[in-house]
Amino acid sequence: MKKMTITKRISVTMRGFSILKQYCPGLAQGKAMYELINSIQPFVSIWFTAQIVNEISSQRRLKTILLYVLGAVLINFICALLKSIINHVCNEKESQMWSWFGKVFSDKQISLDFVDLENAAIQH
Amino acid sequence: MKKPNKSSHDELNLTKYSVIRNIIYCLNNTAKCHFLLLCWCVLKILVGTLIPILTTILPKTVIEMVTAKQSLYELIVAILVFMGSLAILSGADIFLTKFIYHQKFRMNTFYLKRVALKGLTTDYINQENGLFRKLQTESFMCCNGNYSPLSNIYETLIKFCTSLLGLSVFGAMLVQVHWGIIVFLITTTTISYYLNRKIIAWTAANNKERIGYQQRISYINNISGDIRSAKDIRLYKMAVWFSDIYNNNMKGIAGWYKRLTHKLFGVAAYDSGLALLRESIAYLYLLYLIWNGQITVAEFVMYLSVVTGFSAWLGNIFSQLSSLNQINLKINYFRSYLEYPETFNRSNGLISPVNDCPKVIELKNVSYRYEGAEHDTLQNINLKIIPGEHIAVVGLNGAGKTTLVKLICGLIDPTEGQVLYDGVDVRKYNRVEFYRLFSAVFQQFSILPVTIAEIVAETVLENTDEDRVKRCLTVAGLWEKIEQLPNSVNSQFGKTIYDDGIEFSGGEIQKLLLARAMYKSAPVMLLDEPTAALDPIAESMLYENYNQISSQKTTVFVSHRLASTSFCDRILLIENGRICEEGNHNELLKQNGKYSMLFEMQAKYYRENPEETEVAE
Repeated sequence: MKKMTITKRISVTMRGFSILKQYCPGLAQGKAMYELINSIQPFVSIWFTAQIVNEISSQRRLKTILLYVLGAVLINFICALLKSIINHVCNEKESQMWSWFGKVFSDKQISLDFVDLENAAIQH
Repeated sequence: MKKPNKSSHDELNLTKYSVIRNIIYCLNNTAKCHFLLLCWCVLKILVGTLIPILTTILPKTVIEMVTAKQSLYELIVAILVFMGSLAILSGADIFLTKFIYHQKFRMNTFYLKRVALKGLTTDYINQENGLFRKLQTESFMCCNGNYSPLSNIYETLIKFCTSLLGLSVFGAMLVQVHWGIIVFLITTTTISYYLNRKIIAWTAANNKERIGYQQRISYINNISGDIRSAKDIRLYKMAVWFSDIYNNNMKGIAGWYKRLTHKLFGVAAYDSGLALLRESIAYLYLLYLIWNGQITVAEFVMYLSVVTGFSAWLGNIFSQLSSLNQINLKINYFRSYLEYPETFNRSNGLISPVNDCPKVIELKNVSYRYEGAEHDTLQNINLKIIPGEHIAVVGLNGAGKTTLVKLICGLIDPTEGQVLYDGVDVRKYNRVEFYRLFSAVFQQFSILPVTIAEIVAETVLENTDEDRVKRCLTVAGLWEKIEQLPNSVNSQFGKTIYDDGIEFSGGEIQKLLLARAMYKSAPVMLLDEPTAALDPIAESMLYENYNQISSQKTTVFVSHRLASTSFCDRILLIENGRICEEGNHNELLKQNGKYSMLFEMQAKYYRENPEETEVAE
């Protein structure tokens, strides 16, 4: 099998995304948003923890520490909520995606000339 | 033995094993079939537990070393040891995940083989039972593919055991801080679990609706490319109708998911709120401890991770328990199928007479009623077939002709009365051996995609008598076609597997089935509408060869074409489940009864002189 060039791969992927956009608008964007939040969330937690540790081992200002704690838990809360919502919306869209693709295939099969449907090569 | 006959899956009279018993069942099967898979699973559990433990201890160690002002060299060595271990463990984890995924195929094959074997060897009557067939489908789905329940049980158990082990380790660490933290975390995680269970319960209660939509969509997907339906779809312009059904069902699914998502939003908000509460209290309590000098900064960082990890392990345990419950239901379907009761005698039955001479077949007061039917298909049939007799069974559609044939060859047992072969009740025979006495051509047939010779001989090529195959094909009237094929009797049948496989017309298939029945050369031959798809020349040739086909054999010939039964010794006319007329062709015509009337109705279309037809009327 001939190896596909990188430009060809990119063009096939782009075509795939445009088909996906046509049948399931927002699915790819939703998935991308989910992954973005998912990858940023641990760094946010680490940053806040580092600030708290820094504050405890230096000036020990209670108000500042509490502010960092509040920031850490609130951002985690928002991230968890967003992830959950995006995940459910994406699942909803994804569950219908295969049925829509099935419809494209089914429509093609039904509209084929009978002689083509009998053709083993086309069936393969 | 009473068999379950309810139709809904939830109401199936299932063999109910507990989760523990089904886990033990799976583990026992794995130990027997692929013991190494169990070893890989145990290794994966250990690796899966060690990774988060090391990840939690690493920051604590580093902070402790920095605050203790240890040398840079020692710090680098410690970090390298940790990172090296983590790299090895992570690599092992990925490898084991993929390795176990592929190793599971052997178990899939093991279970699929059992499902296939049960289907191939079960009492024929079970195959006609709706419940059995549903269990068969469920059982197949239960072990088909690497995401099937019987396959998923390995991942589920691995995750469950890993979480249990991790929970124990993190629990032991948290106890050193305060036991109250554990109680608090268990409480909040349990509330989350019960909120999620509501969603699972809603999904289970409403799943039937979603499955209905998806089944209709799958049906259209399957039928749109099916060559058997293609002609009707085009000639009756069904495409638009199909498209409307498809769109309506898609709307149905979309509505269903919208309702689910709406419910999930609420649960997600509560869930995240509980996580917020959990983290806030953990932060504040640990801050309190560090403020009062009860823990170090390093321990503060570690315990923060331990709190998060503990909740995650606990959540995983609940989630895997719920998965195990769902898998358990499917395994119960699977085991119910494998343990479905068999009523026919097999190795414990009598050995039937094994020689080429047919014996007397007798039906005494035989009645038969299909499961769920309100009336008997056959009522009080008394019939004695002497060895070598050629019997024709005629009658209208649904009269019970095929049921009579199935009773004679022991595919089904009468609901009342007895079927005797050589004076012995068929129920007492070893049924597998008993089937050797019959060659049959049924309306519904099964032909494997193998060579023509193998189809006729019903065995592998090495055990096939090629000359006998040729003789049988000649008598059946198919040899002329077969000898023209490039590979003759070694040509492959059908295009399902082989691109160069040959396709046969309906009539040619019927000839092939006839050749198969002749090759078996059993003492009793059952022919259920063997000429229905034959052209007049082929049909006529079959009648001419009939004596050659059935010499010294008992034959039961079922047909709608009354002219074709005239060469039989005796004709039985079945009506409303009873033998209403009996005798040879001439005797029945003289009786001037139902047979005579049916014969005239068919004969008038074959007469050349229309006046003769009118006279006959």
